[in-house]
Amino acid sequence: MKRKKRKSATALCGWQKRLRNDWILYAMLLPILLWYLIFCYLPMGGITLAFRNYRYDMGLWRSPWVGLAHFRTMFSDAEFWRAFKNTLIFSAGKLLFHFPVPIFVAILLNEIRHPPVKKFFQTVFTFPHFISWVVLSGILINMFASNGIVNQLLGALGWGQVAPLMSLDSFRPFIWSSNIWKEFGWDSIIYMAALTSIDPQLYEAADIDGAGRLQKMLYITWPGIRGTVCVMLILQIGGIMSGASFDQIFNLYSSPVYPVADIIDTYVYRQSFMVGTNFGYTTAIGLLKSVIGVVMICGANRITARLGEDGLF
Amino acid sequence: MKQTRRFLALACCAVLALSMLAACGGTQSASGTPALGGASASSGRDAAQLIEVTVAIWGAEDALANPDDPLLRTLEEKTGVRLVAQNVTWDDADQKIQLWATNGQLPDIFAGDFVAQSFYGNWIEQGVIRALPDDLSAYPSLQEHMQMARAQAAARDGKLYMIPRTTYGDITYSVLDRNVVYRWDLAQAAGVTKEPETYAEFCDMIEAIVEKDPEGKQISGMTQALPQLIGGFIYPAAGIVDKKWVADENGRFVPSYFADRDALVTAMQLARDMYKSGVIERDIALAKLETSKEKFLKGQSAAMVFAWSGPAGLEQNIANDYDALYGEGRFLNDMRIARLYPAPDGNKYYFVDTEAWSESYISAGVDDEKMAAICRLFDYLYSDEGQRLVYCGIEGEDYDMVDGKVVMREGVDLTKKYTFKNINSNMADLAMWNPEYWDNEYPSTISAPYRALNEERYQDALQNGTLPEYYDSVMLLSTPLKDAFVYNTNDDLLQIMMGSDPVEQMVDELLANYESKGLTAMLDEVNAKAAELGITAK
Repeated sequence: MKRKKRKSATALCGWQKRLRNDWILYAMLLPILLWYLIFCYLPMGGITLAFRNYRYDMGLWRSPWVGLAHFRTMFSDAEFWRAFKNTLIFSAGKLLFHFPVPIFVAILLNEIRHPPVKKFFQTVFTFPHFISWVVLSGILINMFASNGIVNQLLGALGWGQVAPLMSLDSFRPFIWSSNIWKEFGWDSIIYMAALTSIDPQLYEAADIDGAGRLQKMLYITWPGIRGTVCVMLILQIGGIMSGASFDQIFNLYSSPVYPVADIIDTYVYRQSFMVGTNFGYTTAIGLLKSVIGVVMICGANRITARLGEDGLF
Repeated sequence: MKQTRRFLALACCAVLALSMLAACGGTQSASGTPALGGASASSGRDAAQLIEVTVAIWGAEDALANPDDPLLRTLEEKTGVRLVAQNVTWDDADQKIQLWATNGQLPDIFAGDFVAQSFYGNWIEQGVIRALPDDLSAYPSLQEHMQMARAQAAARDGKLYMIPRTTYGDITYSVLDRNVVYRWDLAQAAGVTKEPETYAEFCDMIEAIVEKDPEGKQISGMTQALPQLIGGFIYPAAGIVDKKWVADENGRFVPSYFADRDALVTAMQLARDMYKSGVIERDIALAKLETSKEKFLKGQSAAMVFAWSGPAGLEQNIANDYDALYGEGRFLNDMRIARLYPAPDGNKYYFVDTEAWSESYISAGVDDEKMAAICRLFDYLYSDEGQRLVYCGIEGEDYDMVDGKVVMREGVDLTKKYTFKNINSNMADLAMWNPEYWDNEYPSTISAPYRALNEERYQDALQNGTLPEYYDSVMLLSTPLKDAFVYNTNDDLLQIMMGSDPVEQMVDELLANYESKGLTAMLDEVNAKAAELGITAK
């Protein structure tokens, strides 16, 4: 018993000692913690709205409780399930088609020997990230319009017209591919950073051993960035309920493609501002989305850890 | 050295913390409620006598940017009200107002098309908006204005919660709200010799233009200024007044859209045929005003659906640009506006919305003193003198009264002369839309040939058109199921028009979907409420 007490006292001393030694660092952390508290944790009080029927005259805290009524409405709402399904499909497509691209591009860029050429490609690939979806959607709509440049080119080649934004079959692939085009350069930066941390001596040793490019990629580069890939994968899975970017879908979709385009975010937007003002219902949808996100991120983290990689936490 | 580093680190922490706290705070004007127009005592009245009233109407900030604007100063002098902008734009107005309604930041007066929305009843019941005083006898012009049928239909327990913003002199004028403008010059070049008089002839004409492409510009079919306009051309083809409630053969009230399944099939089939044959251009669902306008100006669209302000409004909306490109007077020469075409029953129906699009609301946060000031403001704006000030300018400077009539002075352009009349703002239209767009007797800078187009269209509707009996008193009723039931005729039209399954099948699925959302139960509830209130079909 005495030993136990002594042990906790020692631990306390250690904690106090660390605080005393590094108090400046902790003090610098304080504003960040406050920021999180004010902007991330306190607003979570609004989650209670998912269990209330919002009334303008009673506000957030005094509106009447309705239990799980909004969730029951949600689960019986066909449009919600359509948006839910579309969200998952967009996420799955993103994971399948988008996720590997920046990794592949980073590895390829890493193989470029001449730094100016490497910089050139990096800049070209990264640039589209800085164009907002609002601007980009206008460009894409014009490009793929019936008399847009794409259809004019196809016409000149004697091919038929395409209308990816109007077609139930091609809307999703268009969203995936346009997102890849816009973001793969930016997303590859983190892998480029991971690649720079690989010890160049490993490559030199491999050269001496007579390893080819492909072998170096497989046995040095890939293991070097695998940890980063895992972290990014976990984050990606955690964001599975985001589907595609709201900005992207919102600016590119139209009612004829709602069946394949409407995601949870756009559905919530329409419910909140264009259909009615059932804020409790839309909060419930948001809460469900967050809960699924947390479950997914925890699950992915656990699986990653079991596979022997470092997880997020 | 160590102490200096510690001091610097501490200073950094303090600066970070302070800047964060500063960011959390803020003044009134930084929190989205800028107080433009309140900077100087601008009127003859003592500034202290003026009652500040915040207003959210599209582009209010632009109109109130100059507190010394003579029109604004006159308005202040006459009403004792200083208008303060709480800015909204056409893109964000509805969202901002909804958010302000939840956090108690609503301006004293705000405008929007909310009366037929599900939350209008909630706003009243939950104390978001305030009713006008029961006794309006002190404000005769306002009192007279509130006799409008729409205002009375939207009353709750005898109280008036919104002020309709007059758009037209009567409902028939709402035919001016949707205009299909087509390239008659190209139609002639394509071999068409007679202006179309039916939907079929119209389709043939557009097909001919697209097929012949007389100018070689890869012309496409009909486009529109916004995705929700095409219904105004399509639904009347089947006698559907999609924005109104009607009575069916049993005297039961029902939205016109749901009143007749066969009529809906007819309208949707027409849209599908027009789309498939290229009469309606392929990109129509993504239409945006500027891009569609540009295409039309370039000669790449055979026709375009315009909205608002009637054919007279075309002069400013597109004709001036067209004439600048192709020569003076070419627009009137090259274009025609589609007339009313008959539905299968032989009647010529037309687009019908409302004689007062959008309303002014007063926040529940307004106290009695401010309410009196607001009533004074609206009373003045509805008076002859107030209307003259807002739409004709200042007497002796901008216009003269001759034999009791306004005669505008040569070369006066109010929009350029007065900030209050800023073309990007609807502040001057707070009480009503400019009557120049429908009343040809009203002073206007719109040229006579364009005003004549308005009259022609109106007379077409008045003499040849059919206006089904409709019931705004039912449409504006509030019941729990009705408030929760939402249907979107524009989205439905685009989905079926561009769909690939047979139209009848899609319409039946659509109706079944609405049924699953409680259509019949909603109709039962509304009809029960209507019966309770003594509303019967004529």
